[in-house]
Amino acid sequence: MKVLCINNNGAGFADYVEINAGTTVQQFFATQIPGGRSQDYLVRVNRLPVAADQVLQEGDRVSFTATKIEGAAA
Amino acid sequence: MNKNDRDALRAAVLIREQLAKRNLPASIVHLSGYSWATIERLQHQIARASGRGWHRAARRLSQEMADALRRYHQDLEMALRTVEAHNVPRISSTPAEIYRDIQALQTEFDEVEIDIANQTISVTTDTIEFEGIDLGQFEIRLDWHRLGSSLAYRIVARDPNPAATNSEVTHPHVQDETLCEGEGHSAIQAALAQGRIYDFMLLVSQVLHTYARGSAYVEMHDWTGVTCSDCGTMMSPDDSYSCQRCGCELCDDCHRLCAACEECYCSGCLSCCPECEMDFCRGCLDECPECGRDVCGNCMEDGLCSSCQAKQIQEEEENHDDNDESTTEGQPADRAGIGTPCRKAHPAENLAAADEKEPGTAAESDRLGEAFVPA
Repeated sequence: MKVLCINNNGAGFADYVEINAGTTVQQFFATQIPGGRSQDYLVRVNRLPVAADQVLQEGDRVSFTATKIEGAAA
Repeated sequence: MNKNDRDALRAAVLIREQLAKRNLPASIVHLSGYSWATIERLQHQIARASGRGWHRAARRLSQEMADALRRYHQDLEMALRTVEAHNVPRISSTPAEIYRDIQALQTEFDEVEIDIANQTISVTTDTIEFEGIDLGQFEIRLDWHRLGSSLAYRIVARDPNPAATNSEVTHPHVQDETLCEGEGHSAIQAALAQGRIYDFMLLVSQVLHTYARGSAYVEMHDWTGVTCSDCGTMMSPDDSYSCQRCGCELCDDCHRLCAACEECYCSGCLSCCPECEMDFCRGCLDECPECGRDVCGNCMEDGLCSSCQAKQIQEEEENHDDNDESTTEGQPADRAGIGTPCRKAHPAENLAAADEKEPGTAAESDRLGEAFVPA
């Protein structure tokens, strides 16, 4: 099945990706952000906060946004 | 459907229209050929200089090479960033998705405001605080009619607590209502380009909630600045001077230097020498044992201040004169006039005495400048 994955790290990747049925949010996070800690990200499914063990559904919109994004000075 | 929903729907349609008519700028990668040519030229020159044993020239050229490589590296990084930003898959949001984004903002932020007339949508963050300093809430205001320009959104401080040294800096990474996105730049621009309003607001909010120490317009430890203890002016600690005695902070206008040791002091820790009227620190003033005043080293001679010394000399002269007077008493009248100071004798008396000695000749004084000319 396909879900829309929005990874707001770096350049801001957004595309549909194929996942296995029964994939949880935590598992999906691990595949998309290898080595990342889920507590360092705002994880949203269909724009809402979710539990780590929630199973993703076909067509879900999953976004990962780092909690700390460093700005700069011009 | 209530008014908020209707506004959200209208805004979604208008944003979609704006995105559709917006011409995405072509991905222009500018890599200066001159930079690479410079590197190649330097490479040849270094090889030639080394081959001929011109080690000094080779070293100088190597430094130039390092500068050229650094510049080229910057160009490459910029080009890479541009390419990455434009290689992001273009998933353009539909009006329905934008509408859902706007609806979702209500759950993420306390305040969401849609202004159809001014074509803006704004959210308000919670209170932001860094290192114990409350910066207040910030409004992220997206002007959707400006989508595609660098001024598509502004960061407005709701209760501004700007940096002491720059009132335009309301947040370590915000100046003139413009956020320096730093690490978030590409993701923010991608979200805007694709009409992902929810992600855009979330990204900007996270940048606002992060303080990148060392790369801020004004660092938080400088935020409140320091106050000049003399005039009360607020200034950056970098621009302040410290009094060497009491340690208080001083501005450029109020800091003063001791005229002797040239150390910095505040007005309270400097004293004016009563003789030369210049400012000195307490360590550079000495007390005159005669008058008790504090005077500087230049105005102190033989352990006395200039005034006391002058007074002492005058007194000594007067004493000397008195002694002379007492020694001339009892001497013959014709000799008394020679040793007696002129000021003691009336000019008329001197003239009379001269007339008595040699009639018709001018009287001669025993002191320079005190000659008397007969009328």
